[in-house]
Amino acid sequence: MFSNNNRISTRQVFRLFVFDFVGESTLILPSQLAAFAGNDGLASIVLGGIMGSLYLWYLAYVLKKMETDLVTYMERILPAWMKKIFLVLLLVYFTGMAGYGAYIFSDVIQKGLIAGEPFPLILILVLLTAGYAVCGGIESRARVYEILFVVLFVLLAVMLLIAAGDLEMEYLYGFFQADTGSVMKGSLAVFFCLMPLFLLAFFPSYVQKAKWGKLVHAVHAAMWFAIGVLAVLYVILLGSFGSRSLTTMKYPAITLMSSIHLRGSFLKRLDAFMIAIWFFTLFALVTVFLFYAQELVQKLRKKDTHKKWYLCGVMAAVFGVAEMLHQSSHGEWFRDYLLYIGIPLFLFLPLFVLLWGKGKKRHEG
Amino acid sequence: MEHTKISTDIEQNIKQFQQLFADSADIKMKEMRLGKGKKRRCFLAYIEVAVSNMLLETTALGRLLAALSELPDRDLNQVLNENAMGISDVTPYDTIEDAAQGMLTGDAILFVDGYGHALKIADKGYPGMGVQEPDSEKVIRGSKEGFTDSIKTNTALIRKRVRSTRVKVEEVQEGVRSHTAIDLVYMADLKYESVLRQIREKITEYEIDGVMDSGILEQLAEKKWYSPFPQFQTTQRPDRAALAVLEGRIVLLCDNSPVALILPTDLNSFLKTSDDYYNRFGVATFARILRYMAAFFAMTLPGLYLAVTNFHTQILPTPLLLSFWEARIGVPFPAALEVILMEISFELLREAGVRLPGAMGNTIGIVGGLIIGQAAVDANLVSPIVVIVVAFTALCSFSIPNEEFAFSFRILKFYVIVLSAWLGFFGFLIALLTVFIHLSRLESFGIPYLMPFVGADVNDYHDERDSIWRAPLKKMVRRPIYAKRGERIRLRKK
Amino acid sequence: MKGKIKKYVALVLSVQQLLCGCSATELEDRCFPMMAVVDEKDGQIFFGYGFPKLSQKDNTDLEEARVNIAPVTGKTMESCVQTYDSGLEKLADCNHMKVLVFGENLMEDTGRYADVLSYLKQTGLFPRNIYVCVAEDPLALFETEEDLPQDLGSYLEQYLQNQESAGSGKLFKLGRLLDEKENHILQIMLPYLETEDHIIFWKTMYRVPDDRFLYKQEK
Repeated sequence: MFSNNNRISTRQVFRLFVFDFVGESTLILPSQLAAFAGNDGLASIVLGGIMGSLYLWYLAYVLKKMETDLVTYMERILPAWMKKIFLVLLLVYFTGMAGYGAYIFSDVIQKGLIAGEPFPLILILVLLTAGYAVCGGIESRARVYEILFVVLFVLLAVMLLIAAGDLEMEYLYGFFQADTGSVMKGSLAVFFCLMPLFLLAFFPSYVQKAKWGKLVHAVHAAMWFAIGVLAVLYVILLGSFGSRSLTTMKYPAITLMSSIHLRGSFLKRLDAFMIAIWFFTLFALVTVFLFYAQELVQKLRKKDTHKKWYLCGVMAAVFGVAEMLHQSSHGEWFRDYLLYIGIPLFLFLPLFVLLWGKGKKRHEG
Repeated sequence: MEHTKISTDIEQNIKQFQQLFADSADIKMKEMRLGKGKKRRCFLAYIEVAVSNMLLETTALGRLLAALSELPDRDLNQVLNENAMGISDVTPYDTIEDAAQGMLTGDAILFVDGYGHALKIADKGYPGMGVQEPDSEKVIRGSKEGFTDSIKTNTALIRKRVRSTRVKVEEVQEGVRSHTAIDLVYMADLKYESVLRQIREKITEYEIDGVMDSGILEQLAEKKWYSPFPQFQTTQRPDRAALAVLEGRIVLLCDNSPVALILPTDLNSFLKTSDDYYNRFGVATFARILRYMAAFFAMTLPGLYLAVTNFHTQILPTPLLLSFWEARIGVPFPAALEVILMEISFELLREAGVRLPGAMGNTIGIVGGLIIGQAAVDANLVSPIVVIVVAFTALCSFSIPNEEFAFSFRILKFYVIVLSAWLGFFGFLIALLTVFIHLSRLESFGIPYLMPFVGADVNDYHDERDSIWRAPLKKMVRRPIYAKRGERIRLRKK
Repeated sequence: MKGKIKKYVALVLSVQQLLCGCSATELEDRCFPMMAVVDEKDGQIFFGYGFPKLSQKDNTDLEEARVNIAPVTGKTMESCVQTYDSGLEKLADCNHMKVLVFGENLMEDTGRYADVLSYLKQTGLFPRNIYVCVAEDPLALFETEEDLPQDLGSYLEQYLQNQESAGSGKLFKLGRLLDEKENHILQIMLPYLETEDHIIFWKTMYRVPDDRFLYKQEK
């Protein structure tokens, strides 16, 4: 029967990717965009989306040529030493991203829900739950998000609609005032939050017999859905707080939720409930990177038997990364890591591997 | 086990049968003589209460003996061989052991001198309760019949509702000492062979002394024994079982048990009732949504209360919060302990209510609810709001149609309470998420437990028409995913 | 081996939980200020809360249930809040605060006023959706509380809401005030409350200074 064939449908792919994109982007991007480009951050969002589309087109093209997922192709084509280096770099990348996601997650919970609790405790609980989710495989995670999708996004839509009724229109004047450089910076920030697109390189083996086109279409739709949510949220945040005030807020979306008042409702404030949206979306982000990090360790070790130990090891590494981010007052080392490891991998690895493969075939042929 | 062939010498058969059932005061053995000349010896063995007075002309056994007494000796063997009396349920046995087993099913065994077989003749059988309304699963609209302890009756109740030659009843015996009959009832052209194979393997996987109830089979056959969620659906209603058979599912009946097991199952099945299909879609949809909400609150309400009052007071409106505040002044226990104590008290009340006989069981509601609850509030041991929360939670759990499934929520409620008391809404979300993850990993014979909320695309999303809402019957044209692919159309216009 | 490891993990987690303690505060251990007043007196910040009136509960001394403490003064807003909180028996839960009243003296001292706003923004002490008013002497408002059917904070909130719906226009709340500290786009006009014969009334608006001199104008 189909319950344990380790395959997910394109609907589940769409929802998984939406969760991966929405969590981080809606939480940290608005203040960054406001700092870079003010009201023109909206243009940055659209441009970032276009950059994402271009990247997706490029990645889809490369993967179609590979006819399999990236890691399997690397195993076939690359010499063992090179494959190991890339796998290690990918592992570092995924661990870093999971750590960052876990840090943001725990920070949001600590600031938004339980201020008195220590950060490590929240982080441990998050990672344990993520580990439990990862143990169930990709199918189990996909099912959770498939159900939560409608509930969370309907809730978010309702809250944004209500918030839209309380906008200060004067805050929304002043478009086309930022220079191109600032807008491009903002669009790069948006593009970085679309880094989960890279996970498409690992998906082909997990998707049910869907055609390649359907899979890419699902990811594309998810990306633009997330961009849409981000754009609407950004406009509402601008109208609620103003761009300058927005730059001073760490998590403006959470602050927005605390300001929304449902007239005539039984409940006074809903910020605690609305944090559930980011709870689940950030959890999705942490688990997806944790999942692939664990898979990479397995590929490196070439042993299936110690899967739970690999997971524990990866979780420990993620804990370390998140704690370091929490302790350091500036995330500069993380920014450097993204610039020198994350982005090159994200951008160039698929093409490099494909070209290497083609070269090898030509040489052998 | 040794098999002793039945001899034509009745003395040998008598000796062996008496040896087999030595020291069994409830087994009666009677020697008689048949034939016109009363020369042919015969020997009847039966369980005392299972056979009516054999001289009564209305029973098959009585009429057989009477008729055989009139026949000439030389014709007796032929008549017995050819079942010339036309008795519907006569089974010949070749071995003493088979004959003994046959007698233990509640029928009489007849040995005739010079005849090399023993005959099992059906009679009134073991004592049992007749067909009555089931205690649980009460419905407003629909049949009032419920399963009984007799597997034969139960199979017949299903056949009565699905009069098709494609309904198959596979019999298996389980229990090394009890030899309990187990029936697998299914629709031959709808069921998945792999599921049938799996359940066959599962029920024969263990050797066990005796199977007293279907619950024993359920526990032996389920995959994740540690899960609070049942992986078999249980029912005492024949119409429910018949509906399951028509959906391509398999019904497992166990002798001496009025509870049938249905497999495969999913979360949605536990929140459906038979009268969801007998009522119009508006009524059914409303009831379903209510049950889903009830299931959610049965697990989460006390935890939410703790999270809101101890951590996130901003959620409640000010007048309500202040009234909670005033109500809690003077209560000696922390809110979490208060909730846990009240929940445990309620569980004790529920348990006591089930165990107490009839009239006393009714008074437990008055004792518990009015006296204990009211007295506890007056003595300032608990606040009134906690009593309301606990009572509402209990009401929600009562609305869940399946008792085993409701139990899952009753247990998980404590998990949610502990986490919410510890970490507020974060703890609440962690609890909810871990339950969700567990459910997403659970499956029942290959069907994901969260169907049709997940994977509904496999059946072109038709299963979603019978989930949290029920589509109008004319739109429910397809059988659910349990039915074999290619056999999914169940409703079409002529 | 597996069982032993599981036990150790469980032990570590349990110990950590015990050591970390629990941040839950029972409902009865909290008090809920309905309003706050902040002013400047003799070069110092002057700060206090207003609490709800509780109905008399059987077997409970009203004094036990009710919380009230005189306003405090301090050099900074932070020190005032800390001093005030340390004088309370219960934890001050400001999630249900309704109104914040600034004294006119504080408004005139733009530097001090900006410091107060910075503190409120940084700590998120008060909810963003509370009304903000200005009064010449905030303490004088408390003298009217005896005659009111409810606590002053709730009364003022309802009063201001009624005025909003009656056509006085949308009033600024604390969140908008904090945002405008950065944005400098809007002209912030706050209700100026006055008392006469133990009655609170609002006739004028107070324009929040933005490096310009202040003045009052008709609402």
